[in-house]
Amino acid sequence: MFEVRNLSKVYNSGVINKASLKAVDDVTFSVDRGETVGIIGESGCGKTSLAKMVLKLLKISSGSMYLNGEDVSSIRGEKLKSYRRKVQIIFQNPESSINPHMKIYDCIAEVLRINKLASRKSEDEKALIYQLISMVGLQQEHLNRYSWELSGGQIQRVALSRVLALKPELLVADEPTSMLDVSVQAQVLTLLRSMQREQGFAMLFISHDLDVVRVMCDRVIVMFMGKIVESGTVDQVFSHPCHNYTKSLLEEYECLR
Amino acid sequence: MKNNKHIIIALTVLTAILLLFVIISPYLFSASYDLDMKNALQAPNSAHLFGSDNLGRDLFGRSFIGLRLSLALALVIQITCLFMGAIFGTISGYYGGVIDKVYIMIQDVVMSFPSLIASLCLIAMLGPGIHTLIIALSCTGWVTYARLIRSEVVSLKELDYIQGARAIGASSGYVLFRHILPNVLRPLIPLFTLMIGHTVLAISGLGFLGFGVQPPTAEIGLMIKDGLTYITRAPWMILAPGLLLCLYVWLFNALGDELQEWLNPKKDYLHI
Amino acid sequence: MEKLLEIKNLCTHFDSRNGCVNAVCNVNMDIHRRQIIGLIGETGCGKSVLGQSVLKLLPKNACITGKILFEGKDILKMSVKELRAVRGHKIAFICQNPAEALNPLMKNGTQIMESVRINQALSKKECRETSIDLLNILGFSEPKSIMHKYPNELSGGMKQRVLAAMGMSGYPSLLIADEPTKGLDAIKRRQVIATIRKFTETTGCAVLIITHDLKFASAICDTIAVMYAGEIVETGDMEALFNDPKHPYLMALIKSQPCKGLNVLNGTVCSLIDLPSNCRFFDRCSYAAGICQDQHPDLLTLNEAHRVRCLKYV
Repeated sequence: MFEVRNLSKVYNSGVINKASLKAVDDVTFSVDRGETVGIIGESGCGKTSLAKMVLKLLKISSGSMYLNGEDVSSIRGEKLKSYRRKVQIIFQNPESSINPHMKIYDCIAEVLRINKLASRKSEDEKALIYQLISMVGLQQEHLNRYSWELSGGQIQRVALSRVLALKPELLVADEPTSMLDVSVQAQVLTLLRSMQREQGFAMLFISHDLDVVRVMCDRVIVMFMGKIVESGTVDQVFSHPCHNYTKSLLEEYECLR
Repeated sequence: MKNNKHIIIALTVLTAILLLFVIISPYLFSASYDLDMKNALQAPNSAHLFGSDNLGRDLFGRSFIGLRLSLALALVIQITCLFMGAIFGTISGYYGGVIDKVYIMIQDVVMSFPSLIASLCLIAMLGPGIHTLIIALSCTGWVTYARLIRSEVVSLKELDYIQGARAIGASSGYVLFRHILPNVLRPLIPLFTLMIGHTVLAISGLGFLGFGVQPPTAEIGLMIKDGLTYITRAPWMILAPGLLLCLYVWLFNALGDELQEWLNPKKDYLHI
Repeated sequence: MEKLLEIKNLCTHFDSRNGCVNAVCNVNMDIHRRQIIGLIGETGCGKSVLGQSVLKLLPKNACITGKILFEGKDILKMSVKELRAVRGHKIAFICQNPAEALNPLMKNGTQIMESVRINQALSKKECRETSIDLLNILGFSEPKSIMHKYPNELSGGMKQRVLAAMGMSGYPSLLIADEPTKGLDAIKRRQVIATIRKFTETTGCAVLIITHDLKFASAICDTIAVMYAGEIVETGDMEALFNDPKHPYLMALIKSQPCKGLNVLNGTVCSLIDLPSNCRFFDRCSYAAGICQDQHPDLLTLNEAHRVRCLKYV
C-alpha cells in the first residue's frame, strides 16, 4: 500500500568547507495495509529523518514515495492536504507534542476544524470529541486542562485521539513510549494495538527498544548509519540475524536479561 | 506566586488611575497654556503644585498634558513597530531560505546605526513634526521586535506540536496565526511595555534636541529643555516633568516584568 | 557488613499553592559498603526526591525530616562547609545528561585534572598521570588522545565515562546515579552498566541507582527497593524480588514489560497531595480485599532480607 524507493536525505552544511551528511541513504521498503513494520536502530541512525520525510515534513533529497500506487514524492496543495489526512504521526516527546497554550478540547477540535469534519463549536463537534476521547480512555474533565497538567501517558492518548479523528491509512509512531514508564508504556501500546485492530491502519513503528518491536510488529527493518542493513519478519530477524550489526545489537540486548 | 497576582492588580490599578488622569488632563488643566508673566518662576505652592515656568504657566498641568502626548505617540510608534516586527520576523523565521537572508541584510543595516542618530537623520531629511517623529522612531524601532520574533519562530517551528499541526493538514497561515504567533507574542508583552518607556524617553530626548514636537505644544522633553536655562533659579522646571516621566517609565517596566511572570502558562505547575 | 548510609524515617514534603505534597513518606533504608542498591519506581513516586534529599539538593520550599546518617554523621544537620566536603568527595554523582555536564570550552584532560587537584594535593604532573590512569581503568584504549580532545568530539557514552573519571578522582564511598539511562538507547544502556561496574570495582564504593528501568536495575543491582506513591513498598535481594515478587504493584509492573506479555496495569497513581489513609495501591490492586480499604499496611518482614508493604501477607 505504501512504498518507499531509494529514498535519501542529505544535509549540507558550511559554505567554504562544504560538508554533507547522509542521514538517510538509499532506503527502500514497503508497508502493506493493516501491517506493522518496525524500524530499529541506534539514535542518530536516521530513523526520525525518515519518519519526517514520510510525513512530508522534510524535503526529500532523492528517491520517491508511493501511496496506493500514486507517486506522492512531490505533491503540493490540495493533494498534499489529502495525503496528510491519510498519513499521520505520533511523536516521542510528550512535553512538546501539544501546544502549551491550548486546552485539550481545542487541540482535538483543531483537527476536526482544519479538515472540516465538523463545524466550529457545533454539537457534532462536541459529540465527536467525546467519542474520540472515550475511545482512547480519557475522561471529559481532561478536555478543560492544558497539556502540562496531564501526565505523559495521557498526552500520548490525546495525540492518538487526534490521529484517530482522521482515520488514517498509515500511522507513523516515532518512539511513542520511550519517554514513558513501564506500566504506562504497556497501557499506550495495548491501546495502539487495539485501535489498529479496530480501524485497520498500517503502522510504521520506530523504536530502539527491541522488546517493544518484538511485541508490536509483524516485520522489522534494521537501520544503521542511514542504511537498511537487514529486513524481514520479526521471527526471522530476531532468531536468525544475518548482518553483523543486527547480531551485535541482539547480543548486547540479550545481556540485559 | 500568590503575591504576584496582588502586585499585578495593584500596578494595573495604579497605572489605570494615572493613565486616566493623563488622558483627561487637557480638560482639567485647560488653563496651562495661558501666559501669566506676573507669576513666572514660582516655587511649588498651593496654586501651582509643581510651581510655574518662565512664562508663568502651571507646570503640574503642563507635565501631564506633555506626558499624554508622549504616551500617545509612544503607543502609536510601538504598535507600528510590533506590527512590522511581527510581519518581518515571522515570515523570515518561518520560511527561511532566501527571504531570511534578505531580511537579515536589512536588519543588519538598520541595526548598524545607533537608533537615536538614525532617527535624527530621518527627521533632518523629512523636517521636524509629529508625523516625521512617528515615522522616524518606527523605522528604527521595529528591529528590536523582529529580531526576537525571528529567533523565537526558528526554534518554535521545529517543535513537535508545530510539526504535528502541519501533519494534520493545517495551512502555513493557520500554523503561523494559531500556533506560532500566540507563543511568540506572549513573551513580547513585557518588552512592549518596556519599549513604551524607552520611546517616551526617546521622544523627550528628540524634543529636548529640538527635533521632536515643536513649541508651544507641551511636551516633556521640550519642557526640560526650557527648564535648563533656569536650572539654578527654578530647578522644579526640570524636576517636575522629569520625575513624572521617571514614575511612568518605572510603572510600565514594573508592570511588564510582573506580567511576564504571570503570563507564563506553567505558572501553576508544580516543579518538584 | 558495615553501614555506610542510614536513612531513618525520612519524610520530604513540599509546600505548594495546591497544598502540601508528600513526596517521600517515612522511608527507612540502609546502604552498606560495596553494595549496589536500586531504587525503582515510576515518575512522581518520589525516588528522585529521595536521592536529592541525601545530598540536600532540594528547592527552598522543601521540608526534610528524619535522619540521614552518612558514616555516622547526620547530613541534615551538617553545616554548608561540612556538606561541601561530602558532596563530590565522599558522595559522587552521575547525572542524567552527560551531554550538558561537561564544559564544552575546556579539554577533557583539563577538566579531569581539575577535579583530581581539588580532591588530592598533587603536582600538575602527578595529576596528569592520575587522570590517565583513571581513563585507562574506565576502558579508554588511548587515554592521552582523549585528554587532548574537546567534549564535543566524544560520543555520549564516552562523555559519561569522562564524567565517571571525574567522579572517581576523589575515591568516593557512595555513588548516586539518578536515572543514568533515561532517554538512552537500549544499546547504550550496556555501556552505562559497564561504566558503573568499573567504577565500583576500582573505588570499592557503594552505589545508589535511581531508575524506572526494570531491566537495567535487574542487570546491575544486588538489592532493590521499590517505591510507590512516596513509600517503599518492597525491598529485597534482586533475584528474590524479580523471580518471586510479593507486592501486587511489583507483580503488575513486571508483567507489564513487553517481554513479559505487556499486561496492562490500569489506573494512575494517587495524588501525593491528599494521600488516602488506606493502602495507597488499593484502587489499582487486583488482590484488594476488605481490610485493604480501611487499613494502611506497614512494612512487613517476610524473611531476613525481603520486606513487603501489603496486608495480604499479614
